[in-house]
Amino acid sequence: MMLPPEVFIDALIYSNLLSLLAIGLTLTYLTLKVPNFAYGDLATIGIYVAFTFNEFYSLHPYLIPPFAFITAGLVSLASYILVFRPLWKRKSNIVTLMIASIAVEIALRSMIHIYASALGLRRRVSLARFDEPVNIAGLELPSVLLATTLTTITLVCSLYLFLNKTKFGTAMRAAIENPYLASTLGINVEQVYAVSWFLAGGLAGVAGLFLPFRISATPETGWELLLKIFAASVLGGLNSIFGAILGGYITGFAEVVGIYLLSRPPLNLSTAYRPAIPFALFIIVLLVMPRGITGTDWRRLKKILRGGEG
Amino acid sequence: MALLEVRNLQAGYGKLQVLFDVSLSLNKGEIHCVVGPNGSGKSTLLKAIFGLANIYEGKVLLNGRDITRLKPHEKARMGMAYLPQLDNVFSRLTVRENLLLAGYTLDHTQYRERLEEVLDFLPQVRAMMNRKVLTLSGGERQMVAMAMAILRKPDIIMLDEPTAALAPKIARNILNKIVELRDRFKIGVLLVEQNAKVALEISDNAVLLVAGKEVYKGPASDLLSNKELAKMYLGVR
Repeated sequence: MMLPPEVFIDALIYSNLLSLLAIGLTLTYLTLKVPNFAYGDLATIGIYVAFTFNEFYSLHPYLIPPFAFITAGLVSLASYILVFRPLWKRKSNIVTLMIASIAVEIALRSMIHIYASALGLRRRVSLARFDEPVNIAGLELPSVLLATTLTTITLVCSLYLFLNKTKFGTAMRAAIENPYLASTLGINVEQVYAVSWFLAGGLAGVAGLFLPFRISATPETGWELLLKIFAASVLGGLNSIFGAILGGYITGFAEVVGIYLLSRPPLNLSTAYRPAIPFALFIIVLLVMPRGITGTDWRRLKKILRGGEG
Repeated sequence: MALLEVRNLQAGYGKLQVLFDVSLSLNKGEIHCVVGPNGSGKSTLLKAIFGLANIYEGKVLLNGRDITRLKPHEKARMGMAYLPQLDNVFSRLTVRENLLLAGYTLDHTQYRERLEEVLDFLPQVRAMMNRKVLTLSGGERQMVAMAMAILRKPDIIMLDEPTAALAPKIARNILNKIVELRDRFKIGVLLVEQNAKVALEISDNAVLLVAGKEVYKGPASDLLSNKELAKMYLGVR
């Protein structure tokens, strides 16, 4: 069965954004080993930065990514400096850090609600009117497809170059692997982690900015996305940025293509089941491959499967 | 003035005190070894000096300057190098990246010069530059760790059991390099070593710790010839 182009386009846009979000969540997890429940709200910040700059400064949304990156990055950095770093330095365990991240989430979401209310925003935020079709080689494509794909490629390549080709990026990988050893070499681990949190927030901000092109966003949007981001990140292995990218695309495509197939005959399921797909994927991954794609020993798995076949 | 001076150190982890009133003095171009039975606090002493364990009382002076409360990365920038017993290299990075990080505080020109010096001193490391540390043997890893420690030309290098779990021939090679390090670069070496006899043979001075307390402090050769102490605590016959 051929997939209609619009379903593929929808899946690609969504997966681009989910990948950026999964990379960011993985980055914060790699540093302090905290499942950051406040991460989705950083995407919501991106949404409202886009709305604010467009509404009050008449800036086209495609020019807003740097502002969304910086604003969400700074909020993420502030949460690291004010909440997570002090707890980490006191050697708080994962449960304490996780509960703290829930508290930060509630605080951030409440602040976004207050901000939206102060703006007099009773309706949902939508930037769909800017999604004009672009003609490329006779193909009419939505501009947001090109914008999200180019942004994702640019950010992923920049992150790759930063982590692998710069001294600070190498120090970041080192501090993530072994903070204790990194500090013995004169690397300021806290500073390196602070940069990681800023980058992670920035990625969420940029991803968030593009969400109102396809959905009507509210202050709850980031929170509602959180489990999907976790699903993508866990599927990728939670310990690998490459895995997060892969996890983002698999989860995104599974959700969009999955609901398209389920809503057609013979099942004819309601599209209201769409959010259940990433959750089901999340549960299956935890049961079958608890270490995700990049953490799984594929050779061993292959041997087991062959043994089973034999 | 001593290069490193530890005065009446009381240290440990949280509420668990491990060291009780330990003092030592290390000079430039000298190997000072810390020996003692398992659990006597040898590794904790190095960690406390470097700022990785809690210091409750006492002082650590580097070239006369009080560095007791400084953070590890600040001590590293002041010319101290510490080589932990385990996980002393970044296994997911290449040897080249590990060395780059060892020279993190240096500018590019300084780094290039020092790297050449280190590769002259440890030529076997040159051949592994592009390999991931994951693929190296224990002895090769230890060589890389040592290269990382000396790349910054520290005034003092603290080695925590550098020969642990190595074959005798490779261990001997590492210890010879430590002696060469002292003689060639005039670095002060503070060495924790399980093989007390070999460590005492190459050291100038020694401190014997038992249950976190000093039992002996003085020339290494005197401790080696003190049959009672050597037999009781060091397994030397």
